[in-house]
This record gives sequence, C-alpha cells and structure tokens, in this order.
Amino acid sequence: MVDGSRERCKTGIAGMDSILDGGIPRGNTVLITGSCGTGKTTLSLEFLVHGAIMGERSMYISVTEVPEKLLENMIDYEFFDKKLIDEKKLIFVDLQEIYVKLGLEKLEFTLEDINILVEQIVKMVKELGVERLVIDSITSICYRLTSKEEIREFILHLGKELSELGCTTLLVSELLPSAAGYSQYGVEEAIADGIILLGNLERRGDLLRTLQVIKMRGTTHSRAKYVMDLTSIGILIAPLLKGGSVEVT
Amino acid sequence: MMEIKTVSTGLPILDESLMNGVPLGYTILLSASPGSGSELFAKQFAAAGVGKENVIYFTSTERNEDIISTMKSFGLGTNLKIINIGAEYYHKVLEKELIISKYREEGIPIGEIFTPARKKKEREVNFLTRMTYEVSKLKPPFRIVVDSLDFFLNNYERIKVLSALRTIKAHTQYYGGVSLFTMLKDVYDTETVSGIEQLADIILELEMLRTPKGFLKYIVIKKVRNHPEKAGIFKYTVKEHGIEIVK
Repeated sequence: MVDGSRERCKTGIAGMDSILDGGIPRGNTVLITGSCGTGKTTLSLEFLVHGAIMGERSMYISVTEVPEKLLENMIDYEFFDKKLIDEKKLIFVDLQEIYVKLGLEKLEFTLEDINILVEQIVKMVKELGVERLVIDSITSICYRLTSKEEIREFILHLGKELSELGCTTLLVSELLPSAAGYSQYGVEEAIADGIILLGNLERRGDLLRTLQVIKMRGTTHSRAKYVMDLTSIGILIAPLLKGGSVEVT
Repeated sequence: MMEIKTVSTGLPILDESLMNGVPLGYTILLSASPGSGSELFAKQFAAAGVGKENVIYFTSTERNEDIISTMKSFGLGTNLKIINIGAEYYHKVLEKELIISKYREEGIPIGEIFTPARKKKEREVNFLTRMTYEVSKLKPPFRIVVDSLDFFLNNYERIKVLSALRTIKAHTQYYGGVSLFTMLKDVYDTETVSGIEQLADIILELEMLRTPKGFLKYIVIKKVRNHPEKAGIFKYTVKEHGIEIVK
C-alpha cells in the first residue's frame, strides 16, 4: 500500500495525530512501551475514550487491574462520560475472569492455551464489533509463555487476526528501567506494526514524561522526543526543549 | 473373661469366623478385585446396622437411588444416611471442567463474558475434610461405610488420605462404632497399601479365579488384629439375599 493512503485511526490525543500524520493506520498492532509511571495506561485509556466518543466500539482488556479501579481513575477526566460505558461503547474486560472460564489459571501456557486465548480475544472483537482494543499489559500474558517462540507465535497470531478485522490495537508493554530495547522479551518489538516509547526525563529537578514514536508501519511520522503532560483535560504533547535534560534510566 | 461386644458384618458365616461378629471400635478394610462384589458387600455391611445403629454410607461412584434400589432388590434395609461424594465432586469440580472444555472449544459466549467466573464465597471443597466432618457428627452406636477409598487415593496425596483414615479410625475406636473401607486390590504402591493395612483391624479380600466353568469367588480373611489363627479363605456366591459364604 502506498504510504499515507491507509485509513487512519485518530487517537484524539492533542498533538499525537499530527506526529503520526493523521493517526495510527487502521488495523495496526502498536506496542506502548515504557517503565512504570510513564503514562502507558492513561494514554491507552484516552485512545479508547476518544474512539468511543467518535462512535467506535472500544474494548479494554485488563490483566493486572480490575475494571472498577481503572474507572475510578477516569472519572476525573473532563472528556470522560459515564454514558460511554452504559451504552457499551467503552467495554472493560477482566482477563482474570476469562482465565478462570477457560481453565487458564496456571503459571505456564501451552501452545494450545495460547491459541485458545487468542481465539477468545478475536471472538470478542468480532462479535462485539470492536474497532479499538487495548491489552494492558501484554507483558503479564507473555510472562506465562515459556519461550520467545511462543511469545512470537502469540503476538503474530493475535496481530494478524485483529488486523484482518480492522481492529486497531495497543499492546501495553512494561519495560524494566534498565532494559535495552523496547520490550521485556525483545520479541514483541520486532513483530508489532508500531512502537510508541514512553519515558521519564529529568530537567532542572523536574521529572517530565516523554513520548517518542519509534516506528509505525503505514505512515510517515516524526521520530522526535516529545514531552507528555497528563492533565485533567487529557494528555497534552509538546516539543521537547532539550537544554539541561538528563535521561532517567 | 470379659465378653467382647460385637456387631454383625451382614454375612453370618463371616461373623462366626471372626469373633462372632466385628468387635465394636474395629475398622475393616475390604480390598477387592474389580467385579468381585465389593459394592454389594458394602451394602450388606451397611444394612446389618440399619435399625440398630446410625449408619452413614459414603459413595463415590453410585447414585443414591441406585444404592437404595440395589439394597431393596436384595431385601436389605435402607434406613441409612448416604453422603454422595461422587455427586458432589461432579457438581463442584467435574461440571465446571465440562464447561471449561466447552468454552475452550467454542469460546466463551458473549453473554458470559461479563458475568463473574465464580460466585462470591465459593470455596474449593476438600472431600477428605467433608468426610471427616460428617464422621465427627455421628452419635454412637454407629457404622461407617466408605465405598470407595479409591476416589480419595486418586484425588489426594497419600499422606492426607492416611491422616483422614487415622482420624476416622480413632473416632470409631473411641466411640465404639465400626467402619468399613473398600478399595481396589493390586493397584496401589506398597507404601500406600501397607499404610492403610496397618490402620485396619480386620482385612478382608475378595478374589475371583477364572476357570473354564466360570468364575470362582473367594473371600479371604487376611488379618484379624491379635488373632492370626482366624485368617482363612472361603468360597462365596451371590444369591437373592446378597453374598453368601459356602461352608
């Protein structure tokens, strides 16, 4: 496909769509990666809420936090409307519940388990007509996979199926502060269509959150580092003035 | 000499060969090869206490109605309490596994995605504890039948099963009841078998011998505590009133 011709999935986040030349190419599987406290969950939730406001059914699959707790965090946002949940435009799914129902309450998944999990996610996306999906976090699922090959199989299989359904997916990936690369297992980053790296930067005593699009298939994009501000009206993105900044690792 | 109080096993000739019955406080182990009639023996043993003792019957394989109808068909009294471990296991464990396997094949139906996977307050049931709890509530005189130990040996560690058996044996001994445990013969390791055999005061075995004319059935008295002279072997047949020993 010719660059720029693909339909875009607008993130709705001020500044982000212009970095991405209009938004994330629809159907892409994007890794949102960063260490803790860098704003991965906030960014992902905002992506979903904006989608839901625009009429796209959005689904959040949570592995580590129960949906009720996430909702509490969102009520403070001015753009958030509880109606989105009542009208089922924004859907929360607790993956732990899915694990119980599928007999996946175990520490290590077999290949069969992985396929069953992928098929379940795809089934939900298909039958509920989900256009935006967030899995928070992919790392906690990968934790149960026993080899890099399995992680590869899981993300490839999932990405392919979701892409065919035209569902734009954010995979939240937890990064250890000291880690090299963009993902904990090194495999996720190679397979994903895009990588958005979130980080911390210290400048004259302030700790800033940063955002950088490392790669994004299907669109031209800026690769510069931006400052990301989490405010009650949502995420604000501004160019980074580099003087006096120290990368926090 | 003080006379020992005994109760019947439900098989008169077996009673004679023991101490004119089973002394109160005794635990019997019946190990049997498949098809030899251990379930029928268990029912006859249970029925021998009906009307005189509180009889509790733990089953892991049969439905309650089948137990009752079998007992009736052999003319046995049925006034006993049945605890159906098998049925409870089905509802608490197997039924869920069935649903899980269905969901794994077909995916979770959309309507079920948002319903809680478990009911609140739902706990995992330990069937060994369930059994010892029921036993602890029994008032003497009582008779306990466990048919069979195989369920517990297949689902729990040996050490836990033995500990539960020890508890039941102690309760039986202290309150002067009697208890019978059935188990399959020749399928468990020596440690398991000797652990259980040590606990039993009386060990009986049911054996079948295949001959060109059909099966020959034997009941073996393998152990009677302090009475090695009582060990013996008898032929038995199954007639309208159940197992009958041939003199």
